Amino acid sequence: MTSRERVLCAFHRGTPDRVPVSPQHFGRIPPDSDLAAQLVRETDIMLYAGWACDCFVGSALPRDVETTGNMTRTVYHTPYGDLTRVVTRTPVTSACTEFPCKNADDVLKLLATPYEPPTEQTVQEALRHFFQRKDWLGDEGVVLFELPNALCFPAEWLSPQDFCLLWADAPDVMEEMVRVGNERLLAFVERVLKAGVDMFRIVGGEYASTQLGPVAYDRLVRRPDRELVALMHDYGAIAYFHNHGPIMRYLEAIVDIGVDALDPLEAPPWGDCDMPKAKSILKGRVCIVGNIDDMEVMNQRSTEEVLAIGKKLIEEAGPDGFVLSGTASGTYGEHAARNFIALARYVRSQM
Amino acid sequence: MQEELKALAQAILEGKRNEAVELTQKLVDAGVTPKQILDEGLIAGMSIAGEKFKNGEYFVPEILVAARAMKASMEILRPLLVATDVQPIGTIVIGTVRGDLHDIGKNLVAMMVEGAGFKVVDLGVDVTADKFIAAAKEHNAQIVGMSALLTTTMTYIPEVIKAFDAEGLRPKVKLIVGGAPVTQEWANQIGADAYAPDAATAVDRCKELLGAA
Repeated sequence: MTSRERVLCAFHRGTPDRVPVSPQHFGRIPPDSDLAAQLVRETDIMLYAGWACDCFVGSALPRDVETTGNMTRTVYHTPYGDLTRVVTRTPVTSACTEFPCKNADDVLKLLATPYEPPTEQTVQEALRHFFQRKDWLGDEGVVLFELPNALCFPAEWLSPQDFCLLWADAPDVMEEMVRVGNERLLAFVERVLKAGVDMFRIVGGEYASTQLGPVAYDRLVRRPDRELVALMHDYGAIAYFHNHGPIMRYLEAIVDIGVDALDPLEAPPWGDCDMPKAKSILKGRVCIVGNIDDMEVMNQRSTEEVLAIGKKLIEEAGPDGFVLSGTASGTYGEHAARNFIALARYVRSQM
Repeated sequence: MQEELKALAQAILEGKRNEAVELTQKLVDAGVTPKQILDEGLIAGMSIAGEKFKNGEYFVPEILVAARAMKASMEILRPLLVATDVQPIGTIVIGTVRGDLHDIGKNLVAMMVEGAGFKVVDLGVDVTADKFIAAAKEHNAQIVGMSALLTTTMTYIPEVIKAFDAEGLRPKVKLIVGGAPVTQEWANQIGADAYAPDAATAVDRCKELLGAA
């Protein structure tokens, strides 16, 4: 099997020729380095590409952007008043330090603003990024189109605190924001499906699972994401779901969403994954992708330790419907890359 | 008045801000001491909220509304506590470390420890070692809490610890750390006095650091 065939077989809950070993993207490894080339050659790497083109607010919302020093201020002009976002940069990161919607009234202003979908030009840029990456990688792995779910709409427009308070104080407004976001998202996804995108990585579930709780997960993730995944499946595409943090209580909901694969199912202390139990719930229904921690384990432990962990995971989660991977932190470095390669060589040796 | 105190604790637990404020005023008017209202009404309610958060029954929204209700009640109670010389159980300086702009975790910890009776000095985000040290000295803090959400910013925490050592502030000032990439093992390696994986546990750790658990 090629790497692509192997990973797809696992995503379809089959038993490939060997368990795929799939680093998620290049982490901190320069993509044009020899080590990156070795990762591509020896593992079944998963890469991400594309973006959602601001589909939640579309192309018709007028805005002014101004950068002063380390701050960029964007003022969105809705017919009902302005909404302001500030992004601040430090030497190591950038983050939104003021979010446009402070409360339910601001959300309603935003939702009442006339909407136009993303322009054809912006969609083509995102598609070009995806297909160029896919063509470059070929059969050496898989490329997934990065996609926020509808819960990312409120999560991106309210601060974490106001997001939680909106759910507490005005759950109907939150649900409406997610409903409208999902409508717009589905329209965007159908455009890219028609253009041939065949694999999606859906993010956003953890806004509910780590912050809001199971009632919110049911209303704001399970219900809209079922529609999203059903659309993807109508076109024969793969729906891959990413959800950090404690996950065990949400596994049945994730099965109900209908996704093909799930990562990263972090083990304690970062998550709560009990792998044998997770496998018993997900077997035949959702492919497990994970769960060796990138930062503490892959990046720091010896190859012997990592191999021992990998062998145990294969016993517990494989060989069907399982991809041996990290925890999608985006931070794995050279030591971790060599550990991934060692895992891939081990798995190959067992054939 | 015991029933009213229990009702106040319940109002805090359920995040019923208006009810909490009314009950607080009623108890004050009835002559119940500010300390008793604080301990048996407000802190009692927040303590149960914290347990529910640890047990996975409460999530961030429930803690936020409980803290909001407590804050509203404290508007009435604070001047009375000052007037009757009621002291907080300790003082904690808290902040997100230099380079890092994320604050929801730090804010939750601040709310929960304040809800447990601590005085909280919140330095915000992107906080340098100098600022932590200056605030610890100014406020005679027993505890300094540092939060980092990124692997690239958590590396600053050991520098803050070294700065506190160099300033001769330890072991008098205890240092507690937390944040998504931080683990107990790492906290042990860098010589922190405590680690908390979540806001509710942070309350327990802070009380232990004071010997007040």
